[in-house]
Amino acid sequence: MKHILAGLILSMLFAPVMAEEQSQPTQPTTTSSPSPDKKADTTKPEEKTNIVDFCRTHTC
Amino acid sequence: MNSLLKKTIFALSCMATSVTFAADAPHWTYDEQNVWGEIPSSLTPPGLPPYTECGLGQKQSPVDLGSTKLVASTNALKMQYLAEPLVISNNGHTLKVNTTTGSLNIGNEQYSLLQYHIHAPSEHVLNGKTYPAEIHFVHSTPDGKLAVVGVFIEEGKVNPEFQKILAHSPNQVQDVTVQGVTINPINLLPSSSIDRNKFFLYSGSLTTPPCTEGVNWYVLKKPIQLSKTQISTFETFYSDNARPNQPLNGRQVLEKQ
Repeated sequence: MKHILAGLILSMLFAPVMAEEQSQPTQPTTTSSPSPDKKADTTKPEEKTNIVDFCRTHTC
Repeated sequence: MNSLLKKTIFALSCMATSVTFAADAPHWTYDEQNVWGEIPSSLTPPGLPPYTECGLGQKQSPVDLGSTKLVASTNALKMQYLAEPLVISNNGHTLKVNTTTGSLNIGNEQYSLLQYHIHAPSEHVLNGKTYPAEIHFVHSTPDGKLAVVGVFIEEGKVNPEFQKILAHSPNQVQDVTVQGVTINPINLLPSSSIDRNKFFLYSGSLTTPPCTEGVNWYVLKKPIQLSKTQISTFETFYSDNARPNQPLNGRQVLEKQ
């Protein structure tokens, strides 16, 4: 019975990690392909506005 | 058996509790800069670009400003900063002064001063030389373009304006409006407008998550002075709140003399 409980604990410990690894999105293709300039343009207009608000209230 | 089951349930409860605390903790620290880019979107403020830019960006800040290209003329900086009531935020990463007035004109573009904050040691370096601290004056246009003016701090005379920040900053993470005290950030810049127009210019990023790129940096060549005591007093709030140098990746740093 002790072994069963130990197995249960181990499976609970590692299940989130495994789930995270499985759900981890593949890194965006921006890793190597696009030029820096093109990448900088990917910030959406609403995100720019949000960043301004964010900078007002946080370190940035 | 019952005893073992109870211990197991207790252990699992502790694990769940620690996860809850972790979720409440600050989402990034200067001790874990290598994983800033891996912070999942679920933990970041809504509506912001993902923090992946911290790890994948190719135009990141700060940089070493030592390798530069001289430019004869570029748009001048016209800071129009005004005295206003002192509102300080100790936000867990730095001391930040919140502003509602103040503007920066660069050519035909007008930027509003959003806030200014301090890093120690400096984030930008000059031919490998690090200054004791650096102030960042963060500006934006109405459509979200960001320009940051960086000012190096060296050890020297007391700066009375900076003393107001030190004297009134809360020791804990907190925002305070200091009654009856005003501060004018123009006094945290080199006093001469000529010196305020000798700078290094390059395209970089925010130096903290989300490390968003497209930020125009203007780092003044002339440092301002704080006394040794003022610098060490700031360090009692924050020391080592600086991101290390990032690769230029082909970017050119321009120098306006």
